[in-house]
Amino acid sequence: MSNITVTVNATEYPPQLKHKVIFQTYNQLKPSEAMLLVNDHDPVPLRFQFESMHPNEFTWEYLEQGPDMFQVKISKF
Amino acid sequence: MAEITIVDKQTIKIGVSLKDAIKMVTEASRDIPLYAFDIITIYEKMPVFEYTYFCFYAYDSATLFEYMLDIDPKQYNSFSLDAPDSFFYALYGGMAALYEQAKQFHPVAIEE
Repeated sequence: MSNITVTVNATEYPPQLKHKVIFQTYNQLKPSEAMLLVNDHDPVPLRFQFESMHPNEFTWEYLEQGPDMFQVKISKF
Repeated sequence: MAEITIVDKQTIKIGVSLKDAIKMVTEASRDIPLYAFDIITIYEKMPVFEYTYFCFYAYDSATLFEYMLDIDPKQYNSFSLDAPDSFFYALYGGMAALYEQAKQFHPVAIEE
């Protein structure tokens, strides 16, 4: 069970920085650590990007799934 | 023409249609050197997002998108995009047609 060590609230960043901040945060996680992503819509595009950039290296678990707030626990293997 | 709804200082809602994709393709074809990065990135990366979930900001390829909108979404931390599948598929086809020419002007491979 991964522990959440950092939270990224994507609604605090402009669109051109959201993905960069999220991936920078993920890259700084140690194995078995997790980050919490908070967003105001379902971050489906981000999940596709994760699967492209980090295949088989992470898990994606919704802790809250809308309609106005989405929280995703992203864990690094 | 794109429908822009400014909800508040932080939030904007954007609605686009097939015609907006055509506007982007037309503009890209008008100046391929200027839009080479966007053309290459959209063409190469849109399949990763199963086409209709493509995000223009995932790989910083939003110049054409912002041209089409006539506004700068970067001023808003929260924005939603309502677009029919036809928008994405038409855009992909247009970028595919321009891809080989664009590569002549931006030969560097796109990062993962």
